This record gives sequence, structure tokens and C-alpha cells, in this order.
Amino acid sequence: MNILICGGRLEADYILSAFKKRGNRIVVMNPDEATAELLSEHYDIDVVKTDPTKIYSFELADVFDYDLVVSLMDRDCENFVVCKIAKELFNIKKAICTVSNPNNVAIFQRLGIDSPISASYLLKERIKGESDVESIFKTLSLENEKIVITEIKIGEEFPCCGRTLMDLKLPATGNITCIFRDPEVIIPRGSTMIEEGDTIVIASAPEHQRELIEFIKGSDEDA
Amino acid sequence: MRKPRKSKSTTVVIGSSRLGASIASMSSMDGIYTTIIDKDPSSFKKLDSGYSGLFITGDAEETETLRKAHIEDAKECIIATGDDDTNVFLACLVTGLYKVPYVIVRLRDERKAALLNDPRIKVISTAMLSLQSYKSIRALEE
Repeated sequence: MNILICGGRLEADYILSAFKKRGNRIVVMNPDEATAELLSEHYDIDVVKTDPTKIYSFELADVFDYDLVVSLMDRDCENFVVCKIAKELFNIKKAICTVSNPNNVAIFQRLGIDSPISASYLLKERIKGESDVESIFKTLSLENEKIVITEIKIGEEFPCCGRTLMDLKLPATGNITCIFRDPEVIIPRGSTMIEEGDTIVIASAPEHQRELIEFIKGSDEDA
Repeated sequence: MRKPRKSKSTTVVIGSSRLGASIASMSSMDGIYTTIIDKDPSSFKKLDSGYSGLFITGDAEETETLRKAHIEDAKECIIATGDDDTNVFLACLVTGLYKVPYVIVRLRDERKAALLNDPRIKVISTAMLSLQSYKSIRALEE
């Protein structure tokens, strides 16, 4: 793949180290003298010390028909211009850039930039993802929060999946009181097997709830 | 050149540069509802004393600032900040997202006009204009 990397400092260095190994042809344009020098010392690639927001830079670097441009300039509008020059005037197929204003992710996409990436936007998406994971645990408190009922949906990656309650050796601090396997409600015995997609209901004291959830879910390393 | 319409047309000028401020003053004194946007409120001093439009202090690259200027209702937008990349981005933004029907953009690097292939966008290139006046001055002398 032919790749053009514009601007950036540590990010450019990091991307270069990742892509260099895969037999890609890479050209770097960097407006900063020191960075350009550093990158050309680190890697055996063409580094052009020039401002990537100028059309003549693209001519100089001879990047017509490249497959990918990665733009890591400081300002969002610079990244916009770099991607636009690349796509519209030099026929570069795909444009990826960083944006600092997370609102610009949607705007850049609507204006034809394939993949704008914003750290804050990714963070927000990640937090949304994390809270989705949490939402598979539903909790109900009874008797002034002395008893909690926890509902957990079983995923295939859970260590308890495919095991009987007898094998499971659930900590004595809680009890699986009920399994919902659409459309059936099962009152489990020792021989009942837990299957993917089951919703299990555990009764316990609140202080043991987290420990039980972790037991069912498996710790992160096991998952 | 297009004649300014006297009715309820609105003009948004982004960048209170010499050019931006002059156009805003002219359009306001022609009776057009005019709004001028600049990051730096001290740049509004460049406006003519006859200017009776609105002032918005803010970064036009922020959606919030453009909304305050009611960009979606503008009949015309003049983009004249000091930075070409900002100008190119804003021109694409106001035509692409806010559907402004008529946009004039000032560029220093006239080659970037190639990025604005939209019939709604007209480019004023200061370098080209200076070159033209240079040529006409020389032509007079010869």
C-alpha cells in the first residue's frame, strides 16, 4: 500500500514504526524541520520537509494515486485542507485525519473526509461502550438494601457458560435463585447447566455483589 | 458583479479583516441585514462608523458561533479571515452543511481555489488582483 503521512510528531513516528514492517511504500511530509530530520534518521523512507497544506508540496512529493493519506496537523482546518487536496486533486483513495474538536468528526464525514479521528470522541464512544457492558447487570434491592437481587445475562465468553451449577462452585455468599431461558423460567438444581443467552438471577448481601458478578463474568484476563 | 438586494436579504461576514470589514460596512450601508464575526473584538474597529449590523465575537469554526449568526438563513456569506485553510474549510462548511446559496471567499494562495469546485462559491484571490493591477500599471507606463 502507498501511504502519505502529513505532519505530526510522536504520532507520525509511531505510525511509521507500525507500518514500516508491512512492506508499504511511505512518504512523509512534515512542516517542522526538526521532526522531518528525526523521522528521516529513524526510517529509511522519503521525508519531505514542506507544508502539507500547499498544493505544490504534493507535487514535490509525487504522491498521485496513493492509497491512503494520514493527516496529523495541529489545526482541524489544516487537516481538512490536506485531506481535500489529497482526495480531490491527487486522487488519493482514502483520507484519515485527527481532529481536536469532537464535533468536527460528524462535520468532516459529511464533507467527504472518510475517517476523522478525535481522541475525545473516541473516549466518549468508549465510555458509552463501557456503560453498555455495565447495563447487562441489573440490580434490585430488598429489605432496605440488606438483600440485592442481581440479574446477569450470560455471554459465551463467560467461564460459567456450559457448566452445571454443581461444577460452578459459586461462592457461598450468594445463590442462583432462578434462570430465565426464553420462554422458560427454570428453578435451578445442581445438575442445571448454564447456557449462553441465559439470564441468571442471584440473591446475595450487597457487600458480596461485586465478588459474585466477577465470579460469573470471569476476571478481565480470563475473558 | 451581483447587485445587492434591498429586501430581507442577510449577509454574514466572517473575519473582520480590511476586506471583510469594508464589505460588511458597504453591505450594511446598502440596507442589507449584516452580521460580522471575528475572534478578536478589537478588529471591529475597522468597520465604518455607518455600520449598523450585528457583531459576534467568536470562532467561526465552532458550530455555536455560526448558529448565533443564523448562518442557515443567510443569503450570502463573505469569508475573509487571515488564514486560507480556515477560509477553505468554512466555505465548504457553510455551503455543505448550512446550504448558504452564495459564498465569496478570499484566498491568498489562489491555487487552493481548485478545492472549491462548487458553483455557489466564488473566490477572490488577492495575489491575482495585485498581479492584475501590476500589469495594468506597467501597461500604462509603456
